[in-house]
Amino acid sequence: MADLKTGTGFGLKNIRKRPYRSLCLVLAATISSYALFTGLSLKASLDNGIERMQERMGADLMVVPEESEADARNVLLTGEPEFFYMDREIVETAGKIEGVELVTEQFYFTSLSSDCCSTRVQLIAYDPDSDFVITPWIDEKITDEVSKGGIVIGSEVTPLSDGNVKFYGTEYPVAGKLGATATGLDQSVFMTRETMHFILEDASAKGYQFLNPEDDSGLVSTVLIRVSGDADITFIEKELYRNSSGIRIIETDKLIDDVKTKLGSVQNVIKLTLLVLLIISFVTMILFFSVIFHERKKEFAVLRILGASGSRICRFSLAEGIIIGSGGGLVGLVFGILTVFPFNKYIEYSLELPYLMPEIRLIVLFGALGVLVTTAFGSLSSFLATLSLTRAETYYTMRAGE
Amino acid sequence: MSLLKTEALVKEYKRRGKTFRAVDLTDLQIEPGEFVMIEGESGSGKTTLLNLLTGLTEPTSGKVYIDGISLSDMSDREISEVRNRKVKYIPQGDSLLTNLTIRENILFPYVISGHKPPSEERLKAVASSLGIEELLDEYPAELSGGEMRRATIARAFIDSPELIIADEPTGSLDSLNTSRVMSIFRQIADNGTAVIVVTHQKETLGFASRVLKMELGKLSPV
Repeated sequence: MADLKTGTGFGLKNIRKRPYRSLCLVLAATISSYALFTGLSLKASLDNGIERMQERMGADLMVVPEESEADARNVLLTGEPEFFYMDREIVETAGKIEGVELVTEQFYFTSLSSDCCSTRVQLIAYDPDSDFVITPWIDEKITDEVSKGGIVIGSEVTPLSDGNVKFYGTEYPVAGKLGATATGLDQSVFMTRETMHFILEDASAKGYQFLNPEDDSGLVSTVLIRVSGDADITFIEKELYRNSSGIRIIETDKLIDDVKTKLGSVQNVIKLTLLVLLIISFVTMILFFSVIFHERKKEFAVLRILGASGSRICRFSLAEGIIIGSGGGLVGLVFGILTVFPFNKYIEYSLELPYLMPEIRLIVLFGALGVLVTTAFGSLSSFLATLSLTRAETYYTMRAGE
Repeated sequence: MSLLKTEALVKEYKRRGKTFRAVDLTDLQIEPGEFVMIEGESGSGKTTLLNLLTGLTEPTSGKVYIDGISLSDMSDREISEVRNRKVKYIPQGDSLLTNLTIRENILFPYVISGHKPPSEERLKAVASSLGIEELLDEYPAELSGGEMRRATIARAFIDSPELIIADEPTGSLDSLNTSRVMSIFRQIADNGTAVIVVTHQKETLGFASRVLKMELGKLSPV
């Protein structure tokens, strides 16, 4: 009897004695909690991704070879390794244009997914003297050896067990690691031009000829430009096009706007799906509780006969709703965690959008919100389903239940 | 002051647009320790009357007083308390909670009120008097109709209410158990609890201290 003293005890007994019926209700609650947790986590990860991307893009303009705009976007957005080259002269040209505050260059090539290399990644050589894109985001400085053959790795690049990375048969020490950027830079590896020479020589020795290692000084893959605050960006672009041929200029703001537009569509789909699932789940719970409580009319009438007031009966049903709502909410949360965390990378690749998990406290908040909302759904739907039964005269309820 | 008193009690229903008077009583008074039996044909208004007396149905007009207080002046919570403590109602048919054991069913009114349940000895004594002592840990689905009926009666007998109202309590019982239950009602009445029993079994009328007949919603002495 001890366990019946509370509404919870009576509710638990009712739930246990009708396992299939209870399972259906728990399932509806599970769906709403799962949808809420995964939906909110997904949306927050996308918001966080675009915010971080915007913050870490660094340059206002990105100059690339005319025919390689798409490849350059791939490197930035998806981390798909690419290589393309243009004349280095553009660096000098850009530096002379009025309104250009900073100019730096990068040289792209790739590693291989074979025994010679740790993994297939984008290799980017940068100039530490002029760089304003990579250096500010070195999150974890391991050694000061960047200039002496050390390598800086993106947040998603995993070094070998000895802490080095291997490219074309030679191991290089990791000098630093970048913080997550939610861009292709997370899967890239950065080095000085000097280190690049060693790797290119090794690659050439193994038969992988990106370009003549002796003849690379006149080539770059991209020139990154930061424009001073009051400068006219259109004027700078016009000057660049006027003075150089075979180039394409990517405005990073426009690149981000494009991503935001795509992101907006994805987020609308997420929002709509979330809303629909929540409505379906809530309506299902109300319908289930109504049907089940109507089947239990006689039970409610008996409770009235035994001296339970309308509000006491509501409390009994509320307890059942809370148990089912919170139970289903927790199950949904577990499934949500099992989706969001292990499939994090898969989601990122599928969406092809900047995707970065938010801080853990926000994830905990989404989990709590999911369970809370589902518990509220459970209690509210059980309460609504009981209300009509407690208002009806017991005699009729008893007769209807027989 | 009477334990139960009615005052011009009327209950009307509408059937196919026509008003039908199910109960139309002049005053009825029940004193402590009285054992009143009500007989009457099906549809004469007996069950409706019992529902009115227990506050489960609201009268169209008139009043029901318990210990001098009108049910219509009480809140739902107060009427519920009356049903939980003072007036025990044994409805027609099976009224056990199917998810609870017989023991839990008998003691469930205490779960509702939050009052201390009676001792195990008291529970076993009541169960034993009704021949269901061995069934206390069974669920209703495992019991026969007669056993369920006796368990329902045990739930009303377990404490000492001021009034027990029973609607055909022995309907599904054999003659031995009918006699056993009626003897217990008699004993309870002798101990000061008022008892109102609706019955179709004329052979049980001898247990009552007063017999009333119900016809077309009206009560008359037999």
